[in-house]
Amino acid sequence: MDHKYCPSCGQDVPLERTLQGNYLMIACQLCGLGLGVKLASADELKRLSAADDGPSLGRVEVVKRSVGIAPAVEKPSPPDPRSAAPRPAPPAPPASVEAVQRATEGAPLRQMGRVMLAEDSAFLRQVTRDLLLSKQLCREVVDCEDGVSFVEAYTRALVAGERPDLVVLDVRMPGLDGQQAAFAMRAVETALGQKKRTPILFFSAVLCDEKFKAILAELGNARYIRKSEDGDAQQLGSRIVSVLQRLVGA
Amino acid sequence: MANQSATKDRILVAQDEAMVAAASPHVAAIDNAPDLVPVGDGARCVVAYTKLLRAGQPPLLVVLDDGLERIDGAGTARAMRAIERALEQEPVAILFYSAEAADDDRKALLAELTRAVHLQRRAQEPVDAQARRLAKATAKLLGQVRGR
Repeated sequence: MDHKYCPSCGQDVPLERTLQGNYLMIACQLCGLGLGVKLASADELKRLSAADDGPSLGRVEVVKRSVGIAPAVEKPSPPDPRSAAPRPAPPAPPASVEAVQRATEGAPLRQMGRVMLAEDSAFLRQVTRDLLLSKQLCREVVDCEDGVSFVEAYTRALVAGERPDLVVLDVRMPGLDGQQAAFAMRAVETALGQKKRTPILFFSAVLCDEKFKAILAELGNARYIRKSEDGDAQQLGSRIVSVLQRLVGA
Repeated sequence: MANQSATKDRILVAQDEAMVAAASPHVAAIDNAPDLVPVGDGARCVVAYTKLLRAGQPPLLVVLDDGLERIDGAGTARAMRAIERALEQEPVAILFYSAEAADDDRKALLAELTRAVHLQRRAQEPVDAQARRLAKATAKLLGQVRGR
């Protein structure tokens, strides 16, 4: 068990690392994030194991559906008591993308055209994109690696008359975080005379507290899914579909 | 490239009301003084800024505080730059006027933004003295902007 920087929740948390064949499986005990990276060589394993800042997703092949959002963690250890940050409740059993897909099969959904996604983790961007497309929740996903590039892409889209049907934002992003990006997005809508507010779905490991609920209310047409809270495959899949239905008015 | 000529020179100011009120007469005394447009918080600044860019009337300067509501000063500036790129406009000069010292993070932010400077607000001074410093820095920046 190592304490490394989690690429999802951004905390210095216990990351469990296990080797399964050619894959290094990594699970965050705090937010429930799980990911797998395909190892190029034995040297790669040594490098990843020794890394102080977590795996470098850009340098290894990210395993997508075969690994899922969160690989199974048999016996989660309690959070590190040395950490000053308050810990949320231990995550529910983690989900796999296949399990989420099974849970959402047959659900009546109106397919969206374009979804714009801002997520700084390349792995989570890919997983979310795959989920949206494989479930045929939308026909196109425009992904952005941070809040600033999202604001630029969203402004371009509005000017071109190509407003997305949904925006999915991570809360924690460098430069311009999710909530600031959302306020900027609403500001651009106002400035460009958009009558309709594009639905926003915050998809994050960060706890939705009272302050954040007030932000959601102020933004309008915004919802929130907490990854760890919805860690069970059936619940997560159902909740994603339910939230999307409410957001897009299916 | 969109039309950059302004029909009326403006400065957008996202600072507290007391500072805007105190700075207004000093800025008005600048030669060929531009209009001082208070915009409140970061989100309102983005609204006003985007409207002006779309109208082909970018402001000469945007003055930002750090601790703005909804979108803080750094976030507002980054959003402005993103919108400029989306609308294919030149970057507008930004002046951060805040009580925080210019540390390494600030320097990195200014380098990232380009055409941005920081002036430390001396919180222990009377507001009018702070406002005079702001007006003086504004006059200097306007001279540079207009001389381009």
